[in-house]
Amino acid sequence: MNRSPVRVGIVEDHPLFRETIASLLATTSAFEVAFDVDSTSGARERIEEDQPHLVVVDLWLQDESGLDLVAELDRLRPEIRCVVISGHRREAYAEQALAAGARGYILKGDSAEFLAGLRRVVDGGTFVSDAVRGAAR
Amino acid sequence: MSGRSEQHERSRIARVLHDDLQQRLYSLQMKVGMLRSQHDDDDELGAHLTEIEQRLRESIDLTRTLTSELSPPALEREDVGDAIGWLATQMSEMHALGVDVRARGSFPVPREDLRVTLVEIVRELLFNVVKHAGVDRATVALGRRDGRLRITVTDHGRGFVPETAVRSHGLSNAIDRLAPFGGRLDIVSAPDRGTSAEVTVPEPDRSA
Repeated sequence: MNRSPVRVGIVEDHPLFRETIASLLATTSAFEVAFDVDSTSGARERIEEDQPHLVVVDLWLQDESGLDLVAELDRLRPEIRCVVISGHRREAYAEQALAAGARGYILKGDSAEFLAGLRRVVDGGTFVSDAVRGAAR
Repeated sequence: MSGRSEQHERSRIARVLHDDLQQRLYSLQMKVGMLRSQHDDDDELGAHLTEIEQRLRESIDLTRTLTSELSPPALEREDVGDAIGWLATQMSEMHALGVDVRARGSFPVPREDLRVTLVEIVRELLFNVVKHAGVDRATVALGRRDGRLRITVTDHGRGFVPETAVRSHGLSNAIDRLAPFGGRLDIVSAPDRGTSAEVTVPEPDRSA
């Protein structure tokens, strides 16, 4: 990736948590928020308009799975990298996210780890939070 | 409150805990992390932030515990095997008890109150393994025989004398709760011989 900020789309249905991720990204020069929405349908609209490099998606959004969006982007827009965020520590969820095409599975709560994970994905790698038991890296 | 409306209320509270309170706590935890990185040269502030982060982690763990106690999400599906599989994961994560679930095929239990009762009793049986058996593994087997659905919790721990331990191991209440459904709890155990606790109910009518 070049030196201009990485454009990040945020797909997270809890308003405070969505705002927190946006604030966190705004504290960095490496990232900028392309959009923040609370649903996968909102994400689809904004992806076309705002052309993110990276999309951060919550594992579960109200009544829909974020992995549906991840799989769709992996198929139709593979140049957009997806990172799944979640509170669930089970490795099975991380495996499902990676199998759907996500490059990262990051647990909610640790801001330093979140940024480190995004950087690893931007650099072409994959990232799974340390606290996810036994997950493949 | 009837069994159904109580479970509905428990599910509602569990959802609020998970979907709202937990997300607020994650947000606070991340904001504390942001403060830390913005003031990493201030040791005194850093010490306070460390304490705040620890309290937030404890609060998040508490919401997880409450959520799982109130309403396992797998309970909302008809197959009692799904809920027991979920329960096995919880026992492993929270109590370091390895639980092998053996179930071939599906075990639908359309009546939610019966399904909840079965899962709660299996949970109590597994807690008994944690508290009394002195081992860290148990097996839960689901099967059918003679027109009855059977759920058997087995361990190879220290065992007990069933007649004397039914009350102390919290099992007489389980027997009472199964009776309205035509259910039974049968326990085979002896000191140092392990324990096999079998819950049976009439095979559920799929139109129920």
